[in-house]
Amino acid sequence: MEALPFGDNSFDVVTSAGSLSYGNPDMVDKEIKRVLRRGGILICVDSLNHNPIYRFNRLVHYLKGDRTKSTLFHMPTMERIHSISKGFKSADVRYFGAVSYLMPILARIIGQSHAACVSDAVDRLVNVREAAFKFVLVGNGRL
Amino acid sequence: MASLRLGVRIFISISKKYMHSDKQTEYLRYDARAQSLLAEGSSIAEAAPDFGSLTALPIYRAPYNYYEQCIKRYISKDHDVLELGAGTGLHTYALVQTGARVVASDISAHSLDVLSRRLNVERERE
Repeated sequence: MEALPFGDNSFDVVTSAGSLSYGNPDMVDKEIKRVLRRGGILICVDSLNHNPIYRFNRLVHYLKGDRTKSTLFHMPTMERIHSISKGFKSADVRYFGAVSYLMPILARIIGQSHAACVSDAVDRLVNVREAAFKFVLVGNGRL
Repeated sequence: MASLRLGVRIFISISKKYMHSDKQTEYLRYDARAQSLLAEGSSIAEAAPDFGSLTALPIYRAPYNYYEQCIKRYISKDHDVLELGAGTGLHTYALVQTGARVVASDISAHSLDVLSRRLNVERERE
């Protein structure tokens, strides 16, 4: 991902579902901009790591060996989202999952679909940005 | 399915230069996972209806739903699309459905083998 085998300006759209933390952030972001045509679009969904609860969970996974240190360090941050956004004419970022960590328990009590409704309602009601589990970024119009 | 066959090209982007030990670890993990899926054989194709947001539990589904909405909204037939870290293709299906020319890339060759079986496409280039 740090050295994509494609020419400059070769894509109208680049997408990523959860792969942004598998490479050096600066290099990956530079490569995305390079392979995108002027006016191109980036659509990605990924995790955030500033919520201490999710951070702790990921640390546990790291200690269990399910995750490497690099992916923890390379987890997208708000700064990275801002810096990616700056490379596009307009950027729309949505945040999700402020209370995702409670949901496995709630789902056991009231069921998956009801718990999902609660989770989505919370995300709609409060500004989840600082507590978010996931984000979706759409960068429209590569500069 | 014919359009899938024409529309999807699959590349493997392995850059040895950046294969640090952690990346090697991740690579081996995902590649081994894909190999065990391949060993199961025909069950991959049977699992095909489950893609993208449907593979996530409902409580974690919202961001993936929105991601797929965005894909539908922004991607059109005449687009060249690159998917980074396509893996076994869980999120590639939504891209292919747009009719765009999709290039799925991943560090793990075996994952892309699973992807091409799932989506029923030939591997065009490596």
